[in-house]
Amino acid sequence: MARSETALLLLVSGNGARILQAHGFSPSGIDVVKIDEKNFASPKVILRLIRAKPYRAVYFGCDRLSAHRFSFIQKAFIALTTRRGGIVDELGTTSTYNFFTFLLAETPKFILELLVSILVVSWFHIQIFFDKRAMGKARR
Amino acid sequence: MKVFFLRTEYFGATTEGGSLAVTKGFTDGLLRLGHEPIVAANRVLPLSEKVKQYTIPYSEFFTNLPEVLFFPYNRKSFREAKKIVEREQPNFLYQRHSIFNYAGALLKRELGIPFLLQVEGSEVWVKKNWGKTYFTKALEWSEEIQFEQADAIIVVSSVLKSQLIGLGVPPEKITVVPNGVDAEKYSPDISGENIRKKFGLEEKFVIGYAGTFGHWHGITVLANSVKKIVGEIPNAHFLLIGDGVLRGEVEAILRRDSVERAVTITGMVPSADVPEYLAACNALVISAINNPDVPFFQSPIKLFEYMAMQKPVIASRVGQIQEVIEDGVNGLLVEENNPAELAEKICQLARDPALCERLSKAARRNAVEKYTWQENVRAVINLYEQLRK
Repeated sequence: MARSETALLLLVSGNGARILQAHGFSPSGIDVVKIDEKNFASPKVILRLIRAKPYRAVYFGCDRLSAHRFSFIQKAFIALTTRRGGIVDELGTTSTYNFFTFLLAETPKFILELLVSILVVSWFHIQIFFDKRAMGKARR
Repeated sequence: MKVFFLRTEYFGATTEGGSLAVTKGFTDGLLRLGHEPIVAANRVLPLSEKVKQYTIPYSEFFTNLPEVLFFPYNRKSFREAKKIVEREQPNFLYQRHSIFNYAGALLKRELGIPFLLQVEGSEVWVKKNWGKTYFTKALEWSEEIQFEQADAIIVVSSVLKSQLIGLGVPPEKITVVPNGVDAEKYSPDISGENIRKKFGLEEKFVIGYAGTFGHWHGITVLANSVKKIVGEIPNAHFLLIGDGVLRGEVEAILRRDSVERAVTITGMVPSADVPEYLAACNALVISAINNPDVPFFQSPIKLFEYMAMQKPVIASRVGQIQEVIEDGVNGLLVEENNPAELAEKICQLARDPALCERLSKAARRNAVEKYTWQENVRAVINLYEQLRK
């Protein structure tokens, strides 16, 4: 399928119009679809949106890139589909998808986060187990 | 009196929404009544300059896996809040209930500070029904610790009180304090003329909706009522102020019914501008619907904002809304999820300006007397005073 001239903006947070303006995107050349963070738990939903048309690029929109979550997952969606696009915010900041940066910098960082998270989750469960015995009451 | 407002929820860079409205409303209410609010949150909030603010940021490392970032924040928020309590010596702690966080319980245990917990919903229920939870047991336990350790639990509706009693919380520990409104900011003195001009609505009967396009807001019910209303009232126009996951569905309904031209969707607007948008409307709608397995337990701030704007309100007969709105007195009630009845009541208002005036005046009077943030704060302070006795 030939790529169209249209891009897709999946709006996770923020104001779509402000993002388009900040990045000089023409509203006629981009489809804006509002999504929720929880949609990332259902990859099929995101993939269906991206594959709805032969988009030339996919952008994930947010209010502030500095406070944005799930960036790695969003870049992974781009890597799996259009391989063009990035994450854009209302301030005009862009985190562009680049194959080599994704592979050599973002993926190792994500693996590190994953490993540390396993420790953090385990530690929290140990703490809360004892805290519940000290401060909670069996209710459910 | 010094009140320490601890806000532990994660909200990224979001500067709008109900959660912030509660924080702002409550702290403004404290200031107006001569109290001293101290706020701790994960970043500086757009509050009055008179509010002393501390920040307890979330880790920037845990950003890609759901829920993990809340785990280290529990202890971190406790440690940082402990320093704030020792420095500021507040009279009591007022924490907004949030997922995987029991800093309030830890503070109470360690420092003995009176601990009031404000709950807008069981996070266990919310995550299971509106989100996705990966660590259910930990979520249940953290909520249980908070409910157990709080000296008092403030819930926003009587339906929510019943829900918490069902979870085993003693009824005497729970007090219902509805959300509120800043009746000076949301006032009939505000002009909506600029907004009407901006969207070409000068000659229209404008029906407004402000809020998230989310599931419990019933926005699709309103969308489904448009065709009938436009058929009967040709100059009717809808001003939908907000955005959300159901926007696509709303637009699809409007396309199906060929009524897109009768509707303006503004997207999210800054909260400071919302009163002007509401002022541009002739009637305002809350088409909320019940939740999947429990009745509507929320206390919708927009209901009080609509009333304070002195506008006729048409609202669903659910939860707290039916306790606040007396049908035919300060608004009109309709059966939930019933676009035909909603359309009928909107048409009734469009045809009867005298009814609009009577309902809207009663609504404003009611909002000012009973549902301002000052009243909300008074109820919380009274509760604290009772606990001291």
